[in-house]
Amino acid sequence: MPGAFIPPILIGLPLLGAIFVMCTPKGESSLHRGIGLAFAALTFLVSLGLISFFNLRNPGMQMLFDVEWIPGLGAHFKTGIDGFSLTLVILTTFMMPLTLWATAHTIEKHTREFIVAMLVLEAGMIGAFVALDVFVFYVFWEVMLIPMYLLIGIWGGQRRLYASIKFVIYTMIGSLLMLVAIFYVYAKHGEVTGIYTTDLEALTKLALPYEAQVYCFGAFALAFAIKVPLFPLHTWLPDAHVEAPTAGSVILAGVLLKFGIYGFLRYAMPLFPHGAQVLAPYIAILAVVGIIYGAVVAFAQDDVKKLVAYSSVSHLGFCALGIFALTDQGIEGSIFAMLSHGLTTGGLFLGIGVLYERRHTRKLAEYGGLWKQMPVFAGLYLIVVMGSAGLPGTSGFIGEFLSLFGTFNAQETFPAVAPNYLPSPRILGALAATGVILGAVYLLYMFQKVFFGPIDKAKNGRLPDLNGRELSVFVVLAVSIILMGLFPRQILRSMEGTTKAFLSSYSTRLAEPDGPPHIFGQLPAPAAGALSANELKQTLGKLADDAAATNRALQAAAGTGATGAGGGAQ
Amino acid sequence: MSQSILGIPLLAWIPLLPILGALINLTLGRKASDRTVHTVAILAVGGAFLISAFLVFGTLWAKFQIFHAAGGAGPLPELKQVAYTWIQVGSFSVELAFRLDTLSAVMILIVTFVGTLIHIYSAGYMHGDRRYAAYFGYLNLFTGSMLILVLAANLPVMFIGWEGVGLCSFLLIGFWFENPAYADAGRKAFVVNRIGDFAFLLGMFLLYAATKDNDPSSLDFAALRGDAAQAAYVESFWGGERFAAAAGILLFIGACGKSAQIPLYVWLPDAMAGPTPVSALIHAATMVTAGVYMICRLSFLYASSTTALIVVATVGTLTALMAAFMAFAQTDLKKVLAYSTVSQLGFMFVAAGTGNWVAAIFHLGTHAFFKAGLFLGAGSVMHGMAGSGDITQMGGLRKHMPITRFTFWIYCVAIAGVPLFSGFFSKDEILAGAFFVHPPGWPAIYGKILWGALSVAALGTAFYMWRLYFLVFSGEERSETAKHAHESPVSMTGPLVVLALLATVGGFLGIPHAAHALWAKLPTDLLGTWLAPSLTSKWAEGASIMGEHSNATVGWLMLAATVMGLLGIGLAWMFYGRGPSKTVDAWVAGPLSMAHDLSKNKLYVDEIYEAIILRPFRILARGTLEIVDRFVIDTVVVNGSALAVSMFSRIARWVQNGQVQRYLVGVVLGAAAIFLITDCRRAPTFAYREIGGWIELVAKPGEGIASASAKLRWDLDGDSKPDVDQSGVEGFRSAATQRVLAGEVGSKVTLWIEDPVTKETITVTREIRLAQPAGAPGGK
Repeated sequence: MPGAFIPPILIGLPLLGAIFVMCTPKGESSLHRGIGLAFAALTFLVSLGLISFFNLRNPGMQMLFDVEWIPGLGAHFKTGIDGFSLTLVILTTFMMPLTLWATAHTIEKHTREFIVAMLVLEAGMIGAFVALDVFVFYVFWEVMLIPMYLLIGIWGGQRRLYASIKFVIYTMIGSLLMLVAIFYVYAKHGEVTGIYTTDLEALTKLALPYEAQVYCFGAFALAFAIKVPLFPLHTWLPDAHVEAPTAGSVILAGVLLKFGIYGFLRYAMPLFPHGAQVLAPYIAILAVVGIIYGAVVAFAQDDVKKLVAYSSVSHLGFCALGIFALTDQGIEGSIFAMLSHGLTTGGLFLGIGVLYERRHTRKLAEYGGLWKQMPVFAGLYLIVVMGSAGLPGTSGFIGEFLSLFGTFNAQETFPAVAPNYLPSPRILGALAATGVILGAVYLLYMFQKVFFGPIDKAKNGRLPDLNGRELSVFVVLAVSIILMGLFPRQILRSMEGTTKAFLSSYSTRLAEPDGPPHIFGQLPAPAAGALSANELKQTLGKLADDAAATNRALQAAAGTGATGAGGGAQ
Repeated sequence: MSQSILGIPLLAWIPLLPILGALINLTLGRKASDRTVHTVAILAVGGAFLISAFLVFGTLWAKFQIFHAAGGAGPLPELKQVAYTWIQVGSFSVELAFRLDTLSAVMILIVTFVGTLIHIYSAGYMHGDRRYAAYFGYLNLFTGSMLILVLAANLPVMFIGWEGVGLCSFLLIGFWFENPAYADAGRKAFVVNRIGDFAFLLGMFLLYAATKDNDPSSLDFAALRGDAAQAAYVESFWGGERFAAAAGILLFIGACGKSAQIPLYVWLPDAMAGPTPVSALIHAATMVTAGVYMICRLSFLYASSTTALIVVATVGTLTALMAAFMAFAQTDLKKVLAYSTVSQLGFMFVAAGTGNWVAAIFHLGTHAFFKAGLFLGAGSVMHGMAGSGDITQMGGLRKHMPITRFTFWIYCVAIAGVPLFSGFFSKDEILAGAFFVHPPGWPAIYGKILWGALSVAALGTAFYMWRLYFLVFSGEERSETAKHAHESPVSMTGPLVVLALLATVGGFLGIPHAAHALWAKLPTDLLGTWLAPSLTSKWAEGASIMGEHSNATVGWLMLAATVMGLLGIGLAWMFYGRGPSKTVDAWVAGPLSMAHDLSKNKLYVDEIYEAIILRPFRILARGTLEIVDRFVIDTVVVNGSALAVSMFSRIARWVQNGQVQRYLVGVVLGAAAIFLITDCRRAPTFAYREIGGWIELVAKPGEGIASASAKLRWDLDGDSKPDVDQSGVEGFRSAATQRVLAGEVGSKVTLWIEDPVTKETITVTREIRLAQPAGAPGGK
């Protein structure tokens, strides 16, 4: 397949870079940064090749790369790109060089290890996005964890150990349950077909009984919900963000959180559609709670970084709500919102980095009046803030608008199994839309505290405006945010085919009745004693019909006879 | 005729030019001279005005002539140009499209013309400000957003402008952000507007939900106006109300935010923190009228729901009255004007809420002239008074600022509704419309009540405006500053004169038909004729909105309005004609003290909001963070479970310390536990449940060692003997799970379980009770 080598190269390049950096002598920090940046930039350039090979008309997997990896397990190293992963991979490769360029010089200790951790993290993230084999996915999923743990634990703030351990344990609990579910699916697939494989495409064809689907979906959902993070599984996020160095926060918010939503779309929902259907309303409710809760709690923060961290809880709520609306607009809006959140929240954290470098504090009360001192920064940061608040004309609006729009118009697609007491999608959409108000509340609160008012701290009166490096970063971000807001169509088009295919296969799968584990579309004929209720009913109904037909025929015959007899009597 | 430049449609250039101007000034302006900055800004808006004028008086005028000559048949006079497809997802698509019709034509002319004047004025007013370029950049950006708002061909594009003007308003109110109160005012404006925008969004979603089956492609105004969409509006939505009621009220809440109506008006008085030309442009002439414009743009929707109209008209009336009351006791020049704006917007909403769309737009236009003029005049006064807007310190300025005083006099005459000035015609049309209105299902007396209330508000308007005028310009100077006040430069007085001219003659665009009685050749209702193609003139039920009414009644109504206006001026002259009077002071201290307090403190609405919304919200936020997030989730659940694990590991550590004795204790305790568990057989039984006419029985032979291989016999028909099939073979029903038709099961079922090890047989008998009659549909 054309371009098949690109995804593996994208995984390999950062790893190669990491090896290079490791081979250089210890104290050469500018050399480490240079190599790291060069490889990250190269990865970005190569990832642009994905666009040229990407076929908009093909809704399925493209650029498939498939080699046998562990024959005994049936694991293949299989990667590919479709409409869901294309833009997310590019977001990853875009954010990484930007982050390294903006923040790597602020790392003073263990620069070499820092660059290695960042590059391995990038390889892990790209790998998890392009993996098409659950085993490969799981490996990359865990690979991401370690460098992030190190980033927080080594280069973090005061309570870095607490935060990093919390981050790891939280994530591990989720992923272990997911692993159990993966084993179950793997075993069942082997039982049904005789072929033991971890290939996602093959496993997706397996149809499990409803109950098993609910449990398995629940296990996957827990892993992904922690990653998103959905309320009430979010408390690792503020701690991780506050303690992480700027680079860690940017990548964590910009890319890592997206794996939660992406995991739902790529794994949990296609593998267990019935499970998804049963649990979707509850996840949607948690998403709405998260939108409001995250925004309300963000408002109460006195630490800028915590404020932005909670804003992520709120924003990712929109994404989670969008996918479970199960409409085109909801899903595409959700992915768009993720891309936009990567840029805007990444930008917010980078801005906090700019402030932190100058003042070494994150307390809102320490700032004020900075617009006067740093007008360029203030103007560019305002664009980022407005992008985050979802002002029309910025990227944030498109994602928020479409996911709300999709939810509001999900009357037909929203899971019908939902008990009556669950709110309708319209009410969920309306409640979620209050996030529009609350977003303005906490973001403008922050902006005002930092940039408006008099300069009442002497230190703030001497702050220099953005230097060339920072200026370049924020110009790139601001321009991307506005361009994505004004011309979202190209990006939306890249997801269109995949979204349609996803929704149609999801609904086809849902239409199949329950049964023992089998390959989808090949529901085995039930054994004599174990007919399902429906089928028994049908069979009996048919028998009854036959009997009735026979009766009618008999009666008709008798009737003719009777008439004949009557006629005779007259 | 070329309709595009550089491949961009000409219509798109109208908002694009000011936006480009903003881009230039915001990026390069800091290093440029003031002269370059304001030249760029004025040229950008002026250019937009020229293109607008060219398109309106050239292209659109010609189309209108054809349409009008054909007696209102044929294609509507409009010009739609698509820049590109903005959003497309599934069947939903939004074009970045602009439409020039007779309604948006009026708006773009007002926006670009008044905008240009105010840009020119600003060059004088903001002279020497440290952030001169930023100011003009924002002002240009605002003009561009406002033009997007009015030219938008569909609701989502309108929403770009709608929120864009909100952003610019936020930036300009908080322009002097060093003052925390000003920054607060800017934020308040944005957040309150966002509350409205939230409802606007929901209204938009609802409209799409209603019309997508007919035209799934867009929220385009043309599609929303189509017959199929119209049919959807009158469908029942909820609680017997029509769809149009729900969507209309939601969109109206959006309008309340933008156009400062109850209960969302609170941001506008605070917005006076911005530079005065900004108040003139944004908070008087253009942005705040966006809500009125939006309702007129969707006239076909509102004509479908009497409920929505009642809401609009009632809120408008209450706002007009309340704001007029609040204006009485204000002592800040701009605050009086701010409440006056809120009140006048209330008038416009009454017009829009009585189906009197033309009057709403008419008043919008005349108000843009005289209120922009009043603000610019106030700016001129404050310029002369060294920046102070305290009217208790003024007086006698007629001697020092003749041009400002003369133009201010004209504006005050116009707003008070003195005959032949613009405000007279537009306000009278609103009053008459309210008096005559009778939508389907509307209580007949309601229009008369609105008319009465509005007449009182009109009286109040005349009173507080002339109180202001007398306190500022008449009597003797009450401070040193006032004695040394000076007239403003030409760049400021020039726009004042132009606006005064328009405020005088603007009313002749809408002379009522009744005037034919005076002079048959008088061109009447020019504006109405021009707007007719863009507005609906019928209720959804088909009846005409503007019924027939006699010229005599119209004449009497005019007379009443005139009397009200003159009465207000007279009262103001009586009390304030020669400066602050002792009579007033005595009354304020005595019988009217409570009313004065209420007016001065704006009915304590801000304090009430603070107490019932803001403070509870802050407490909620703080409480949620401390109690739910930090304590319940993080401390109890998350770290609590960590603690539980570590406790458990401590116990494990105590047990596994390497001493054989301790291990032996473990072995003994473990063995005892196993004996206990294995001996505790659960009683053997079976369960049954109903599945849609079928009964499923599941044997539960207990947890004993061999229960899985126990031999089972069922008796389902209730004869107390193991069932056999027709041929008499035993073991017919021996599976653990049985599914039979509900009718085949007797009232008593017996199950025999034979333990394969002890060969002992246990009998279980249970009564079968069916929860629902057989045959009812069941779940999965």
